[in-house]
Amino acid sequence: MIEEALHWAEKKGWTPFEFQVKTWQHYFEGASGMVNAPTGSGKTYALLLPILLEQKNKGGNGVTAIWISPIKALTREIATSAEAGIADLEMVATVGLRTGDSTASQRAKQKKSPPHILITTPESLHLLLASKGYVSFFSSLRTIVIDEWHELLGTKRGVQVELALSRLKTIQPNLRIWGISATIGNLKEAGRILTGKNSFTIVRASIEKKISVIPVLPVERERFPWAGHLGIKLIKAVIPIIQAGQSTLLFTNTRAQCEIWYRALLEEAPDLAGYIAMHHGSLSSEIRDWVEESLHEGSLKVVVCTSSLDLGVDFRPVETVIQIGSPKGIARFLQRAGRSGHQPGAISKIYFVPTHALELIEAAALRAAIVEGELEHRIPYVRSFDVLIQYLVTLAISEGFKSEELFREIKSTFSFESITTEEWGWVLDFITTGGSSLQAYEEYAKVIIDDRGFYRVESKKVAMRHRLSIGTIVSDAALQVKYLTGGWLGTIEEWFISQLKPGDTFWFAGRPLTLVRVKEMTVLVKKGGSKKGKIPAWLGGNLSLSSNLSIELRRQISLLANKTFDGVELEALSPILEVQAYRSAVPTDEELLIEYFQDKEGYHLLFYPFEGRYVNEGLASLVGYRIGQQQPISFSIAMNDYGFELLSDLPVDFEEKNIRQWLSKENLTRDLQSAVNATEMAKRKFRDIASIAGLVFKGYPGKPKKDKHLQSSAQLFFEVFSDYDSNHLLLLQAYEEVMVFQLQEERLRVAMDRMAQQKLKITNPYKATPFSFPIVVDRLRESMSSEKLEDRIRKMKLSLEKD
Amino acid sequence: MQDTFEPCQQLEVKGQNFVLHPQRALFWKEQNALVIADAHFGKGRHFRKNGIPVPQMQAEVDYDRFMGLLLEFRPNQVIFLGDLFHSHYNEEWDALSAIIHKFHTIQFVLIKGNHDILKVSHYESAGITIREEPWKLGPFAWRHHPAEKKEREYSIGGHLHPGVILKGASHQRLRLPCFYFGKTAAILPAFGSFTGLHVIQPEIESRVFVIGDEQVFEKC
Repeated sequence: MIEEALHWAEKKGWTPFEFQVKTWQHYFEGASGMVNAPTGSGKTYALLLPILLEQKNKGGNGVTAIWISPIKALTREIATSAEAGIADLEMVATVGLRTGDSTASQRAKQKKSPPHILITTPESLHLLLASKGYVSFFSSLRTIVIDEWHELLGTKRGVQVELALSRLKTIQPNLRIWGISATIGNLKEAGRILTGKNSFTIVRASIEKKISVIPVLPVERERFPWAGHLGIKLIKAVIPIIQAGQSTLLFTNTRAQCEIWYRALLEEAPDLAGYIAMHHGSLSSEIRDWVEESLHEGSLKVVVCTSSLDLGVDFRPVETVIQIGSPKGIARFLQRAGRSGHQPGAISKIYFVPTHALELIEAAALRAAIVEGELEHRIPYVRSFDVLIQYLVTLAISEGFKSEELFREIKSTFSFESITTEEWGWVLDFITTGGSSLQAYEEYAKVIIDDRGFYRVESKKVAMRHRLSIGTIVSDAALQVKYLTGGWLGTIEEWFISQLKPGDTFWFAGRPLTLVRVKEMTVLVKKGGSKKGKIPAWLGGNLSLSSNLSIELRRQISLLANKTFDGVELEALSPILEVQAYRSAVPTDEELLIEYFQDKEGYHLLFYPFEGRYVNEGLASLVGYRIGQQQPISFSIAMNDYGFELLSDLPVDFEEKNIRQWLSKENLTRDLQSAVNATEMAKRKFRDIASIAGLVFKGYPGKPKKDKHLQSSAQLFFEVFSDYDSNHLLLLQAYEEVMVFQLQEERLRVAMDRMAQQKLKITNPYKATPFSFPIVVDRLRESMSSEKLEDRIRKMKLSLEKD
Repeated sequence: MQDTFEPCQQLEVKGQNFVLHPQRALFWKEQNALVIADAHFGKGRHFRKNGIPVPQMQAEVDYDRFMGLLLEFRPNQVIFLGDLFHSHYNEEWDALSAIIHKFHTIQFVLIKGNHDILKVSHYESAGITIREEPWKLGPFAWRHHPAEKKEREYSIGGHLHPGVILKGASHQRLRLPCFYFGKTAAILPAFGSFTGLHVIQPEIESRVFVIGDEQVFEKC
């Protein structure tokens, strides 16, 4: 068949890449494996072609191949490629799409006559496992491809994929599993997790793109802000870059920043109207589809976007990429840079627009890191009991399952290889009796065990609610934004809308909208309104600087401290560093900078580990907790990628001996646990866990809320479990997730070792410094207290703010 | 911003005297009546029956708190301001009825809330008298849903699960349940422990009593 593949390429008039030919060979030998190739490199045909040829030669009825993609937009692109391939090869085969957009009649038709090639997403695959007869539906399966696996790994959707694979492998023991992944630090591990084997094939595409990072520097250097995350100040420098290129992608880090830049660009360069568009995850699929098509056709000059365009469809007309603010990681930055420069040998140019002065140092760090070439690891989720619970109920809805058989399958996955029989027993208890056997959960009814020993769901209502909640891994319950006259714009979070009254204007999808009313889960709006409307924000958008980039950042700061830095950013950085050195200090890598000062807000204690905001938050909680053990005190905590602040109305006993103790590794695990307990970190993680495990059901986008008497919140569950069932596996999972993903315990330990070696550089600036300013002005704060509640109340005042 | 908070358990409204209890209940001295809003008994089991696990212990603790108040105040009358029982009948109703029977010398009155959807016979056999809102007793109109417009009597209701946000120096912030006494109407905190909190906007000249672990506070 390999000849046939080569012949096909020849007929098309192109020379296949070496990695494509290699993949074809391995595929036809029956191997499983990983294709390591960047977006836009021809990776799709590396696997699609052999799948089609196999279908052509071997035939087979029913679904013979599944292609899983992390995003809906990509599924359509793959389907188009597959259909084109089928036509070229003059063969008979059917291609089916199955996503959240598939209608009931399409789904029914697919069930009756299954397509040969099924293209779907992880959630939709699980929905298929939730429908009766899935075993025979998948009985002809030969191959499953997981596209952009690097993107799924490191999310709970990756766990969903692992679980679905474990089931499919039982149905079809000879199943071939192929992943496609961009380069990540732990590519081998990624392959092992996916294929479930220690030996598998990795085919690497040796298409190396040259990347050039161009910092956009402020013209009037003294006006460059110390804080802020919008970067609008540099808009005058950005516009000529857009105008010079054919088509530009402008990446922002958050959806709010995306809306702000879109509006600002239009104000600054009105002639862009008609050639500018916006793309982010909360916009309706209609809007996003239109933007993607227009980009493809080359009819847009610039698209302001978020990570929503990191992946996916190849946009050949894109020549220029602009990154606003820190990309936080090297792999993400390279991925974005790779969206331009498609001609062979072309250099991918990426402009980096710092949003405040210190980010100029990051530009230098990024350049150095790209030379080093060390990419970040994607940390896979393990022991995600919420996803396991959801999966078990999924199977209980359709065919049911037997405990022993399924336990073997579950234990074969990477995520649950450490699950014990006790934990398995707990999970089964949880879905059948509601809780651990030691706890009474009377009259609980979800999954029952039938007389043949099968776990099943009998209640139609439970089954219905469960099907609706399968998608919640990706979509947090949000309100739909719709025109009164019809037409869907996208989704918005409830807390933002609750600040508005009917008649107020807000900006969304790049246009001013007037709020008419909120009805059930829908926000009804009409066009137009004041130019000054509020711009929505979406919570949880704060990424943390990766470990690799943090190391590079510290190195650059040390170069600056030692006056050996020679990057192009130096001139722009000088004034701000002079102020930092004058008021406090610029630390070398042998020093840990600590600033302490008092003003009308209270006593500010700042540490600068330069470890990324997640690890900094962990350190902040730890230090705050330990100080609180020495004296009753309350803190509000703020942090960024550089450092953290503990702010209190009381002074702290501030001696070197004490500081060393706060940063000591002695009793670290115990103190960290207590510190996490004392903050909201675990409670925040529990939000997702509660909705994935089916504890909270907030209705479904576009459908009115039913079951009003079953409404509750993740927070309430967190509290009742903490009070009455503190060994609850889902509660423990929240703490484990904090340790692994938030505090990154391993990284935190390394950081503490490093700080133990550093000299303490303690300064008492007379007011905020360039380093501290962005942290001090942050109002989104975590709080922590070792004072009695009653004592805290006495010191407080009633606030008229809303929730 | 108002002045700071001090402990405060006593309150006089319209010439009547009340005790504000940190267990989120109100005691009316002149009538020797205990007032409880939004207990939501049976809610945990209602969830469990629908496949959502809530620990049983939560209900037990609420029964204990309820009985604790009955023993502490020895009232002649208990007024439930609605949402006494969460949704359809389940066995928790029998548990609650048993408590009510044990204290049969007390008169129990319920002003029905939106969650009180049991049959009349259930309330009758438990020995609970149903009153329509607004129910006039003393100088007050007792209700579940707060009045939509000003009434002649000062009204006392529930339904909202009121709470407020407190702010302190150094960006300290607390979110706590409260008793709210406005110019024309009062709203009581939710008694049930498996209930949420709704942050209200106190109007001018209102009195807000925030509830700590063991004490109730008012701004002084």
